Amino acid sequence: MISVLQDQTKHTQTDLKDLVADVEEKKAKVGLTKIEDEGIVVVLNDSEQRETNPNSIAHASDIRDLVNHFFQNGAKAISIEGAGEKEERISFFTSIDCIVNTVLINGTKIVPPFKIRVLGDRDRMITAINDRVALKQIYDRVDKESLEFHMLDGQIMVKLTKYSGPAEIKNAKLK
Amino acid sequence: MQNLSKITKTIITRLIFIAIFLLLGLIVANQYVLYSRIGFANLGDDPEGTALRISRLYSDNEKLRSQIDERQTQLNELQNASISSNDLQRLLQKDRQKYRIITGEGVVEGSGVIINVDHRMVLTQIIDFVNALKNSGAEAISINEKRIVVDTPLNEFDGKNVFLIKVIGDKETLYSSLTRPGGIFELIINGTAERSDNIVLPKVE
Repeated sequence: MISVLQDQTKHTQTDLKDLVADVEEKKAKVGLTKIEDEGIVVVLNDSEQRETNPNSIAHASDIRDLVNHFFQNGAKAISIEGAGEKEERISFFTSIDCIVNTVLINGTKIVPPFKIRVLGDRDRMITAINDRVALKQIYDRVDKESLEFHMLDGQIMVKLTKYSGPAEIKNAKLK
Repeated sequence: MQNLSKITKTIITRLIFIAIFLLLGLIVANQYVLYSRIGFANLGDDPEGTALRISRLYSDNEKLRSQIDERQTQLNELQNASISSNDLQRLLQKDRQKYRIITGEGVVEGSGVIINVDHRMVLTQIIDFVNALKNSGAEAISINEKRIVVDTPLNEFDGKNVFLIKVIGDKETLYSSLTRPGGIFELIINGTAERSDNIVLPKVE
């Protein structure tokens, strides 16, 4: 009986090892693990000019558009950091919303300056941030209203925090 | 005659003594053989050896008991390992299924809302619309039968005129967030929504 159990345990351990590896891979894909890889860090901040108007400040919609833009250009993972080093990882569940004068990401209120940390091929990401056609709305405000938008120099390897917001699945199930 | 008689008496007396001693000798010899056969003679002869054998038997017995205990512990450990492995496997499978739903690796089904939009939408509107759905608790989304996951860019839908958006999540919350005054339809773009319990979304291409 012991040898049968030993064989079963060996099989179970092998199965468990494979399963753990698979789960860890998927967990990373969901954004539930910290990650470090090549990439860029982009700063988006309100204009320093005294007379502000809606076009001179950084909006939640700018962050949403930039997130979509970087994924369009092959980004692997993205996080948004606000003042006070509050960093939130973008996951499937993430919504980026304007709440009065703060931006709510994963239930955390953050304020500018925003640092958008993007993991992906650096050359592609640099090309993406310099795409004045795709980012016309932002660059127009950079030119006219001094909205701050640029890439941080010297950041080749970029670290992203893990997603820690809600991730409940109550209604969807695999078919 | 009297003299003969004395001699005879003496002989007879001696013969009787001889017979008695012979009988006693036989009894003693018989006892010796009997004791030798049943082995009592050894017991009496080697008490220290017997104690040693008994001591060895105790020692062997202890060793066997110890081995039985060891095997029992091993058996319990293996059985426990098997039970905890099964528990762990169940938990991991549950996580795996959840992550497969989130990453879009599998076809999913569930309740939620089906949205029809028959106006042109530009990229920013689509991004805002999907963001609002996530804010309302969307668990899985597809647009025009394409599964939307975390890194799906929405550019391919830019400028389209017809949208079939399927969302799995709490159908009442989703429906209300879309249709209430000041809701998603009013703020972003108008459309129609219906609750459904049988929504099926494709997996990521």
